[in-house]
Amino acid sequence: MSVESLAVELLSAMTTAGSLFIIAAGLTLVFGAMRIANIAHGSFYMYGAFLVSTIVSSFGGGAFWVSLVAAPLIVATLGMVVEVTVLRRVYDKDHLTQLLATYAVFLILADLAIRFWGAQSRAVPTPAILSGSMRLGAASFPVYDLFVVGAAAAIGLGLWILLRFTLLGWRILAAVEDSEMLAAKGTNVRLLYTMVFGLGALLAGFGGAVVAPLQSIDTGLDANIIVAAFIVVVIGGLGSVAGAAVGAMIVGLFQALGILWTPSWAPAYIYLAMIVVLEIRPSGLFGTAEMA
Amino acid sequence: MEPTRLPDNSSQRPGPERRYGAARAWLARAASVNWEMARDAAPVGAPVRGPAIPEAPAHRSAGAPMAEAWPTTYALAVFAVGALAAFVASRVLSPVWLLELQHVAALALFAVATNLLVGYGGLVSFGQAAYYGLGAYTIALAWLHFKAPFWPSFIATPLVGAVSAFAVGLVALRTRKLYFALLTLAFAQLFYTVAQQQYDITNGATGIFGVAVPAVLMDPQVGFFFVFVAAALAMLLLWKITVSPFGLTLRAIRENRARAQSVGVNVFRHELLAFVLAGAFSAFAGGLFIIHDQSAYPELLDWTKSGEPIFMLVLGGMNSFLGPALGALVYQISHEIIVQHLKDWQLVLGLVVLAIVLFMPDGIVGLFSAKRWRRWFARPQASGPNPG
Amino acid sequence: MMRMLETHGLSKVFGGFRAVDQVTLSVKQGTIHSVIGPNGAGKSTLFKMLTGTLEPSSGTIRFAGHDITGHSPHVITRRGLAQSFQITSIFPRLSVLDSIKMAIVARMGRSANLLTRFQDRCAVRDEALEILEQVGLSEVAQVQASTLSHGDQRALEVALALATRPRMLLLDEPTAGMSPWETRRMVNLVRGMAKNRSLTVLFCEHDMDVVFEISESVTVLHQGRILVEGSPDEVRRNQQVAEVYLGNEALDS
Repeated sequence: MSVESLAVELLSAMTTAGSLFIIAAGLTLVFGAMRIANIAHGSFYMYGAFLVSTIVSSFGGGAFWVSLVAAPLIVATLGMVVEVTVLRRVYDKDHLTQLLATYAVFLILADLAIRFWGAQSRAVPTPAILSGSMRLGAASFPVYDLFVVGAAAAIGLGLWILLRFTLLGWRILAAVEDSEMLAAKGTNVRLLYTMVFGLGALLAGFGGAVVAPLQSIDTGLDANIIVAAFIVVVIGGLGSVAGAAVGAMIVGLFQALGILWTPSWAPAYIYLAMIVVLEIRPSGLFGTAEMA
Repeated sequence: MEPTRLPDNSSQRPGPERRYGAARAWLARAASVNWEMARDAAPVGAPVRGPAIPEAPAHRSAGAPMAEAWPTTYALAVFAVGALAAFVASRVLSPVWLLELQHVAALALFAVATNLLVGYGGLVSFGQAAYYGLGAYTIALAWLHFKAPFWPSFIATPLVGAVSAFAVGLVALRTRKLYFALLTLAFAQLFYTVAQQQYDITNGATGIFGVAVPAVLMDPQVGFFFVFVAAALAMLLLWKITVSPFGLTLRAIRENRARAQSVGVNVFRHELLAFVLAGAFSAFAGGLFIIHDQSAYPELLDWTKSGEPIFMLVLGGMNSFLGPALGALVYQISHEIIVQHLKDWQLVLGLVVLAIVLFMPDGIVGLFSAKRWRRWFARPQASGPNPG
Repeated sequence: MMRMLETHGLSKVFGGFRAVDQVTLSVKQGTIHSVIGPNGAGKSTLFKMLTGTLEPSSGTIRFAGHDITGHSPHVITRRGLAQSFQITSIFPRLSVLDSIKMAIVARMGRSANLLTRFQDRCAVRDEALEILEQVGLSEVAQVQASTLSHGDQRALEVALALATRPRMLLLDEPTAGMSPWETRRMVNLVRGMAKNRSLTVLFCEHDMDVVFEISESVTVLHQGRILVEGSPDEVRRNQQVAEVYLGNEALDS
């Protein structure tokens, strides 16, 4: 295989990794700060994609950029509504109850999506500026792929700044460490939880929005993405954003390489990757034992 | 080192050695124990044996008393009644109903087997469908590739389930809680992927249809009775396991892993055994599914299928042995009805599950706990099943 | 008299911090021995190593002549060294009787028995009831463990340890959080156990009255090291111990 085609494959892997990172980062933050494994996170991703398709089909292709902002914000609002109505009631309950609650929300949102958008799959056209490919030597890279990778990097940087330099970020990190202590120090933990969950939903929605032009948008998106997202989060270690980045790259690479080498076994690779990682490091690459 | 013998409390002994006497004593105890225990709390200020101590102040425990496990004769009686009811039903109900109830019976066993892990063992596995599907695929593949007769494959299903559960459990049981749930899910998805992709072996996404099932079982009446009795026998066996020393140890592990370990229990081995048992019985349920449907397809292995027994046990009540079976009945019947008339099955299911986890943590069975009915289904405590 | 428990140069280091430093002690069979020391002296860490919960950084532990250094908890219990926990650790939703039955069944090696109701038969049931008599929990045998009062839960702790028919019992702050009445009950219980069953008892405590009332020998730990060892009187009169405990009032009888 030539260097160019390898490079193209790598870019494809990084694109997958990028989108997975955006989604997984939200999932892992919610888990880290609130100890909730949110199955409905996949629903938020799907809603992001659907919202983009609705906005673009209503207002034309130029509205894509607007939709990249609007869709995540709408999804974030939806997330906060879910948090206030459902999640608040299960914080004190056991893990199974919490899992079932988020699974129930997943089911409800899935059904509402069919009602609202119908069962037909949709497509979102790539915006003109970002369509086409860039030539570098003998290889051609889809421009949109580069955009996705760039967006993921921007999100990564933004989260890093948020967690390191802002009050909200510090509070989130403190909650990941010890939320009881946080409450004792006077922080409004309820509000913090709502905001963290909203942030998670925002990221999921943005992930769905960014990836919308790359795939057909249908009502199976939520189930498909949530498993991959959980695998990334577990490989990276629950609660670690850096872990989500590394996990996303591992999964992205495995998926790309898997399709190259043995297409019929490709979907199995990510599960194998997770099993292997957990055998070596039972709490994930960057995770700590107390998280689980 | 012999413990010193203290005065004999023979009123609390279960009875003489002769079986008849023992059985009678069991019945007497089972009948009496609830009423007495339910009525009294520990008397305040009761003296404590041993050297003289100052007056006992009023902070003796007035704790919640618990009923004892059912005697085996009760369970056998329930089984007999159930078999009789099934026989009557097979004569009375229409073939459509009988076929549907076959499916329910298989799912009920699947749910009860899953509850051994989740309710009794405290191990939430999101990959039990792997074994259910494997059971079905065992029979289907044996028929497809080797034209194997039905009965040997049918009997082999628990073995297949046990072996695969053993392999998965060795890996998955080193982790805890969420990691465990996701690992078991990953293994199930692995099996699903293999089933879907390996077209040559498994017929891929289409699945295997028209599996040969003995003609006598194809008759709705006979088929239903057989499946029901087979599932009921399997559940009786499972019940026996829950009231055995192993069941007690498993519950203790669920309650406090570290303490169980410090008392001398090899926790990993016991959890692995529970995992293997759940896998074996789930695979058997998958074999029963083949009698109902004569087909095996990848969706039987999918993680969303793994969610079904979990819903059933939450719906029916995971605190009692038969709760999940009741949940399976309600779930499946509602599913059929709702899917035919509305399109919003997921919405209904989501809302119901939400309602249950928020307001009715003991499931349907818990609804009866206010009345005397509780003795027939549930154990009267907060959560976590105890034998019954 | 044989030495039931011996440690040689036992140490535990966390990063740069020496929680337990070169502790060498021995407990004679059939005696009641206590370990005391201010908070952070290393008592809990020492106990965790003895029960197999923590692996020592260096040194050895011998129990009844066998080396148990670094063995896992369930193996150590099977050898005859049982413990009760500082933070009450019971089986919340099991009944009191079931909890003890479970421990007895485990001791008998029948915990994987699938098809009998072994735990409901005479041998197990009688022994369980008798243990409950000993610790004073007979009346609450059918009660759910989580609904017991604190003192009763601590008694259940001890009962669980007794059910393993140990040769030696480790009690980590057995009277923590107890009222005077409950404390008295626990003291009588420990004394009775040691006498009736020829048990060896090692406990750590903060309640000095209890320590000096029932211990036959005392080890004082300070900053992970042994400061003083000897009979209760010797320890009580020791100047260093008095200083370490920030004032002499704690040791005045």
